[in-house]
Amino acid sequence: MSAIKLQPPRLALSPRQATLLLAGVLLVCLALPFVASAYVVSLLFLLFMWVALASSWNLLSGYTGYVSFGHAGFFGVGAYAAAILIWRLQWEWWLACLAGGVVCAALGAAIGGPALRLRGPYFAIALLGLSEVGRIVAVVWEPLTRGGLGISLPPTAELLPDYYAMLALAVAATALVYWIANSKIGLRLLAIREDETAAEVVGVPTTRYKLLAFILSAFFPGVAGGLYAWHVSYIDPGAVFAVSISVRTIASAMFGGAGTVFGPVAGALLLNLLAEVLWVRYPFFHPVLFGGLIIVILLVMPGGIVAVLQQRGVLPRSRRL
Amino acid sequence: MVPEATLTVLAQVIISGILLGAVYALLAIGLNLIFGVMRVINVAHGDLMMLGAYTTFWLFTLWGVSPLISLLVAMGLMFAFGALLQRVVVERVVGQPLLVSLLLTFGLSSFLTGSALNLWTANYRSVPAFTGSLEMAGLALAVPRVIAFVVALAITIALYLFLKYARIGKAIRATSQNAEVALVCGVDVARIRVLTFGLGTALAAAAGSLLAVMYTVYPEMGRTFLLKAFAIIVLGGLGSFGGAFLGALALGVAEALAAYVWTAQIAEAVAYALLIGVLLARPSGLFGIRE
Amino acid sequence: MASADDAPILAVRGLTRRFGGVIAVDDCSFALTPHRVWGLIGPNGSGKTTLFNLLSGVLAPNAGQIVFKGQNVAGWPSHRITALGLGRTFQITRLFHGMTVLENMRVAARAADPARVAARADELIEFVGLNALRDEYAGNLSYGQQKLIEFMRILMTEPDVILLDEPFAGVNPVMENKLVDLIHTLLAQGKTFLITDHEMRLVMSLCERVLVLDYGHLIAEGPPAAIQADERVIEAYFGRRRSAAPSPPTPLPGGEGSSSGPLSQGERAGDEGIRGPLSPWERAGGEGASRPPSGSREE
Repeated sequence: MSAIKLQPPRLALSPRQATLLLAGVLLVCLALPFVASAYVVSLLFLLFMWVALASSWNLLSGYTGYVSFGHAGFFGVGAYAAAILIWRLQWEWWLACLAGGVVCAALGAAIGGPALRLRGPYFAIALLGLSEVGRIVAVVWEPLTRGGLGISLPPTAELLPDYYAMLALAVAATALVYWIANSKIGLRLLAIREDETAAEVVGVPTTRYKLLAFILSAFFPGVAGGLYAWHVSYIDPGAVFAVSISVRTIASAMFGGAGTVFGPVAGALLLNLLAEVLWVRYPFFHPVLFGGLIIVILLVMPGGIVAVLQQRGVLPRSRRL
Repeated sequence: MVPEATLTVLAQVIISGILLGAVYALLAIGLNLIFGVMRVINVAHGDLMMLGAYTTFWLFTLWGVSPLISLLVAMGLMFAFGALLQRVVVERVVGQPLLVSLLLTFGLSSFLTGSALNLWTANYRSVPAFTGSLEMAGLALAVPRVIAFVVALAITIALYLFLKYARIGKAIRATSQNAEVALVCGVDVARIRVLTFGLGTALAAAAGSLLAVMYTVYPEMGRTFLLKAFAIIVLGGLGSFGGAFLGALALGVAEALAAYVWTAQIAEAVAYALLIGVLLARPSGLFGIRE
Repeated sequence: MASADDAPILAVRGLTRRFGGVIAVDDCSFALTPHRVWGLIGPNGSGKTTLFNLLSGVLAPNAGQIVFKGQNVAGWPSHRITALGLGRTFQITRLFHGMTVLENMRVAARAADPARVAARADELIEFVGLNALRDEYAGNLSYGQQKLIEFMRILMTEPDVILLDEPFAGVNPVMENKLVDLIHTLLAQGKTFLITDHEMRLVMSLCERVLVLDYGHLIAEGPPAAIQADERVIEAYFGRRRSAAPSPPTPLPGGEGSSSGPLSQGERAGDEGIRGPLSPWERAGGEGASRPPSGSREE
C-alpha cells in the first residue's frame, strides 16, 4: 500500500517566504492611508470589518461545525454597548469598543453553555432567534437605547484611528484563528466538527472547547460593532441587528473556505469589495447577492476557494492555510 | 368574583388568538410536511409566505381582486414556484447533512427577501378588503380574522383528508415515514418531493394571503413568521400534524394574551421566548429526528 | 497469569437503560478482573452495544453503578472516562474522515509534548504497518485499515481497559491474526480487554472469560467451554426447540467438558483443524455474522 503520490502544489511558499509576504501586505495596509483617498480608506475600513466578522464566525462555525445564524446579534450588542458607553458615560471610543467586545464575550459565556447543547440546525435557528431577540430588546428598552430612534454619536473628523483600529481587529482575529488552527486546540475543534461523540471518546472535553470557541468568536463582532457605531456615528436596531449582516458574514467565510485560516479573509475581501463597488446602483442588492451566492457555493464549491485551489494542486493541503 | 366585563374581554382575546392561530397552523403544517418528506428545514418558508402575501396585495391593489380569489391564485402560483425550486435547487441537497440544506434555504431566504426589497421597497402595505367586527355570543370579533379563520380551517381540513385518503396523500405520508421503503413499494419518491415542496409552499402562500388581510405586508415579514412557525413545531412536535395545529392555536392565544396584558411588541417576542425556551430546556433528541 | 482473586478493575451493578418502552440493559451486574481478555456475547439486540455506550459514557444509565478504578463513573462524560483509562472502539469505525491518519492519532494524545506525541503516534502507526498512509485522509482508507487505526487511536489515550466492539467484523483472516497478536501483546503489557463479536470461534478462543447477555440481562458468565455448554445460553441463541437441537457442542481443543483458564497459543493455533460436525457456536458465529441494524437504538 504505497502512498498516493501527489504533485507538489504550484503555489507552495517556504515559511520564510510566507512570512515576508504577510509582512509586506501588512506594511502596505499600514501605509495606505497616507497615499489613498478618504473614500478608499473608508472602503478598507469596511472590508477589514468584514474580515474580522468572517474570521470570527469561522472560528466557531468553520472549525466546530456549529453553524451560527446569529453573528449579527453580537455585532448589534457590541454596537449598542459601545454607543451607550460613549453617549451616556462619555467613555473614550476605543475603550468603549473593547468593552463592547467584552460584553459580548460575557454574553457568549452565559448563553454558550445551554446553546451548544443544541444539535446542528437547532443551534443555527436558536442563534437566529437570539439575534432577533437582541433587536427587539434594542427597540423595546427605550430608556437605555432610545428604541427605534437610535443613538447618535459625535461625528469623527479623523478617519485614521478608525482605520487602524479595524485593521488591528482584523489582524487579531485572523492571527487568533491561525494560532488555534495550528495548535492542538484547532485539531480538537475539527474533531468535534467531524464526529463529536468520537471526539469525546478519544478524550476531547468537547463542551469546554466548544464554549471557548463560542466566547472567542463572540468577542470580535462585539468590538467590530462598536467601531462601526463610532465610525458611522449613528445606529438603530434595524441596522446593526440586521440578519443580512449574518448572511453576508457566512457568505464571505464560505466563499473563501470555512474551516481554513485565510479562506474567510480572502472571501471577505473579495466579496465585499465587489459588493461595495456595485452597491451604488442597487440599494438593497446585498441580501440578493449574498443569499444567491450561498446557494451557488453550496451547490458548486462547498469548501470555498481554498478547497478548490487545494484540490487542483495550486495550494498546498495544509492546515496553515 | 371576576367582573363580567373582564371575562368577556378575556374570552375575546383568547378567541382572537385562536382565529389567528389557525393561520399560523397553515404555515407550520407546510413546514412540517416538507421536513417530514425530505428532511429539509426550509428557512425560506416564511419568505415564500411573504410572496403569497404580496401576490394578494398586488392583485387587490391593481385590479381590486378579492383576497379570497387571490388566495387561490397565490396558492397555485406558489405551488408551481415551490415545485420548481425543489426540482432545481433543493433536490440537489436532499440526503446531505441537515446543515447543508439549512444553509441553502437560509441563502434562499436572503435572496427572496432582498429581491422583494428591491422590487417593492420596504414600505408597509395592507389589504383592507374586509373591515368591521362581528357580534357573536356577546363577543366582538374582527371580521378579517373570522374570515381568515374559516378559510384556514377549511384548508387544514381539506389537507388532512387529502393526506389521509387520497393516493398521493398516502404516498406523501409513506415517504415521510420511510422514504426507502416507499420507494421499494413503487412510490415515485422524487416526484413526491417535488409535489410536497410545492404543497408546503402553497400552504405558506395561503397563510400569507390571509395574513395580508389582517396585518401589514413588508418584505422582511417572512423571517418573523418563520420563527413563529418554528416555535410552533418545537412546541407541537416535528412531524406531527395535530401537534402543529394545536401548537399554532396555543401560540396565537399566548400572543393575544401578551398583547393584552403588555404591549404588541412584547407579544412579538412571545414566539421567540417560546422557541428559545423550549430549545434550551429540551436540547437533546427534541422529536427523535431520524437523521 | 492473573490470579482469580484480583480485585475487579471494572464492575457494574444493577445497570439499567431504557429507550421509551424498550429495556436495552436490564439490571446488569458483573465484575471484570484485570489483565484478562473478557468476552461479551449475546444474540442480536441483547444490549451489547448499549452496554458499551454506557460504560464509555456515550449514554447515561437510568439506574445502576459503573465502578471503574474505585470510582462510580456512571453518567460521566466520555472524555473523563477516557482520561481515567477506559477506552473503546466502535462497531462501525468512527475515524475523523476529513483529517489525516496522523492527525487522528494526535487528537487522542494525552501528552502535551509534541515530540513525544509524534513519536508515539508514529510508533503505533508503524505497529500496524500503515506508515505509508500517515498523511492520507482517514476517509480514504480501506475498512480494515480504518479498523486498525481506530484501535491504535484509542491506544494513544493510554487506556488500561479497552472495550472492542466487534473488532473482527468484516476483517480478513490476515488482519484477524494481526489483531489477535496485538491483543496478546497489549495483554502482556498489562491491559484488560472486553471484546464483543459475533465471530464465535475467535471469541471462544481468545477470551478467558465470557459474559452472555440476553435481553439486556446477564444470563451466564464463565470460561468459554462452560458457556458453550450452558443451557440458558443455548436457549437464548437457539430457543427451546430441544427436539430439533443439533448434536451437543463439540468442546474446543484444549480440554474435555469444563476447562478453565486460557487456552495456550498452541491450542488456539490448532483451531484450523476442528474436526467433526460444527458446534452450534460455530454455526451461531455464521448466523450472528449478520450485522444488527445500526441506528435503531444508537444515537
